[in-house]
Amino acid sequence: MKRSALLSSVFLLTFGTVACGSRGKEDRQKVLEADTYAVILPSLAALQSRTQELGMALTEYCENPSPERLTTAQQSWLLARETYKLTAAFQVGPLEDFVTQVDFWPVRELEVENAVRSAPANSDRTYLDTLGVAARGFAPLEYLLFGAPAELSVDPNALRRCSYAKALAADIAERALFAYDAWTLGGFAQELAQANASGSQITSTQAGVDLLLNATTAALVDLTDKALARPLGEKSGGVIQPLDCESRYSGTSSQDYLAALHSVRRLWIGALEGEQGRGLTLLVRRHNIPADERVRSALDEIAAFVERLDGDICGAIVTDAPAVARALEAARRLRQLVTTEVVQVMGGTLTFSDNDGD
Amino acid sequence: MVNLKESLGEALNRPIDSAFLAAFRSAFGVLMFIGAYRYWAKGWIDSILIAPAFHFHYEFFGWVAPLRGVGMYVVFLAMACSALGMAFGSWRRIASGVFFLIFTYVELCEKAAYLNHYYLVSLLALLLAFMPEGTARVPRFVLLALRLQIGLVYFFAGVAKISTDWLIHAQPLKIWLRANSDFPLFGSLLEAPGVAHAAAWLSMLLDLTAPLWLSLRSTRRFAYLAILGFHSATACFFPIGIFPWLMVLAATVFFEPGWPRRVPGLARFFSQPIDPQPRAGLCPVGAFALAAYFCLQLLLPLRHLRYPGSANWTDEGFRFAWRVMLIDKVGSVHFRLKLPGSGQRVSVEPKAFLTPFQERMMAQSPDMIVELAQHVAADYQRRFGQFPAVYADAWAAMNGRPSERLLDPNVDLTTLDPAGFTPFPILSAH
Repeated sequence: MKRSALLSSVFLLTFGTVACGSRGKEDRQKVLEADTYAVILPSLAALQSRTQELGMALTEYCENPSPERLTTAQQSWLLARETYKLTAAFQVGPLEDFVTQVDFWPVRELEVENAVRSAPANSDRTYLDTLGVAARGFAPLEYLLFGAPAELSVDPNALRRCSYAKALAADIAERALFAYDAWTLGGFAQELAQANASGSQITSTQAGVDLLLNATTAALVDLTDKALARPLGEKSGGVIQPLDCESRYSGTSSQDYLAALHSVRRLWIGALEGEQGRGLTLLVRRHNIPADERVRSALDEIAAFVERLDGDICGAIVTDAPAVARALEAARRLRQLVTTEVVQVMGGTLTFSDNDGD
Repeated sequence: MVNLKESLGEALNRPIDSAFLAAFRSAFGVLMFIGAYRYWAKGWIDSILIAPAFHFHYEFFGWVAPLRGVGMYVVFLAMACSALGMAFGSWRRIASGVFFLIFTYVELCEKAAYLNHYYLVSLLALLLAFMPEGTARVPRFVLLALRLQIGLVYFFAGVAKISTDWLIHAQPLKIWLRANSDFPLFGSLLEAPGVAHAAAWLSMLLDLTAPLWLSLRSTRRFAYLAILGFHSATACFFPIGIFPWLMVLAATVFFEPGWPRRVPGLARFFSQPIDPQPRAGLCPVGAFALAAYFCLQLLLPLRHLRYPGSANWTDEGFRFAWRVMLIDKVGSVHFRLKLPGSGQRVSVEPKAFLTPFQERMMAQSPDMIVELAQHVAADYQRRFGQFPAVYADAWAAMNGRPSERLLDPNVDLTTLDPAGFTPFPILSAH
């Protein structure tokens, strides 16, 4: 009698306690929904739209070349590129293939010129598929539009050259549309937003959050190593490498950088603009408000450093390398904060992928 | 004194039923076969042992390196065969010895892949290599040695849990349980107030006292059920591979030595009569070796006391000490090289040398950070002819606390002893 009473008490106590419930899963669900529907899908829709405009601008220019149409094509490239960089923090799922296919940089001029020389009179996707990623995507198109724009109309190879540029723009637009469709019609957005629902490939809300966190970390790695440390010469014995700079022909490396940083902020907040949202911030604030505030102020600090540079990053690494180095240090602090405290607050360390624990 | 020695000798050498040993060795062999197969199937032979260009080393075993190409696969094939030999063969001692050598070799190849249960597997295989086989009765010390080994694991795991983090803050359990709130049926309840604390206290008490409850006949059944429930829960929630099942198996050494003969289904494997002729008892050399072995087993988990700070943070004395499931720690490291003469500074990211898995493990362990720093310096000298000073910008966050610097950023890591016999310049108040 005594034993059964004791067991019953333990049972009731246990279930009484756990019946209070918790909000971790609900919080993660809210974050996934907010980031998917308020940030990722609108950003992908914008990317799809901007790349379509880029494709049309190139078509119009190549059919009737004029300085005005060239300017329009260049502006379209800048907008499309900025919109693309605004996806930097969530390049997961169907977007991964898009990134691999269209974002190889720094540009290899020789490879692009070779691609022009061997191009057919009317380049198309079939031709581009025979080329490596270094001859496809944003960077070669930037080189053609900004690096050697005159050749697009007056060079003996102008038609061939312009046709190749047009094919590049059409390819980017087609792939952006494909990625957008895969997120929307293909259902990846729903899988992410409804992680843990039956049929979702993402089997838990924690796995969904980990996916976003890993993508954010990858963006921060690019923002430190690729966008700043490499041009600053940290990978080459301290010798500055201006050729390793992003978007150097258009002179928009700072714009690229700030857009990528802004995408991290958007995912963090869970909204395209403003400071209020249910993004990753929600999970961190629930357990560690100072960490959330440090992330926000680090984002502001990095942006301020980059905005204060004399010209864009490509120019500043030559004229004022210490200022770029300060931005790099700030970016490293943010990366360190996210890869330690934030990962831990979110329980992200449980994703052992190469070995068991303990 | 003579009487005490005689009665101790008599107690240790008293012949007992060997069924427990045969059952344990067979089940251990099967489990190890599954472990080897699993390691192969998950692609870890390549990702952990073959693919990395650089490996972290254990002190005194810097010469151990994985074989290239198919060599490591052959090693695992031999490991799997020796595991099956332990389970079903007729040369089980030899199979145990071969398994011990191969398994320990694999374990020594990559320090970043250290796991407590791999270490336990090595120790158990070593003990089994010296324990008799066949149907003869075995001296009681065989049973006691296995019980002591498993008892030490539980005991030190329990002692390590007596800490503010574990008992007062219920960390890292709170983080881990929260991350598992998607678990079917009751997952969302894992975060309820008190659950992490209850789990922390119960697991500490279970670890500390499990050997005692398992040893007493009156409590053994309940204790084993508790062990089964505890390890099944850890298997559900945490990716810890075969560890829970190894411990569930290991706890059987606390049963009566003839227990397999009384288990329906198992009994037919133990139906042969017990050879009344007992095995030879413990000889003086064997007694000395066993005593030395267990002295080492007592001292190794305590060696962290000679270092300042918490072993959970410093990692000094953390390994080979049964500090199981105690910390959730993540780190971030990058190196700054200062070239001699010019004083020029160069930055190096660890990922240039490591796989993502190695990088993750290195970033939380000062000894591995120091070893990599020295490798980076040697690599730089080989390529550019200058041996640089290497400083680490190393940060880590542990058990939900804000991140802190792990190592003094002003200390040239190339000047340190990577073995860590001298404490590292570890920062923070942990």
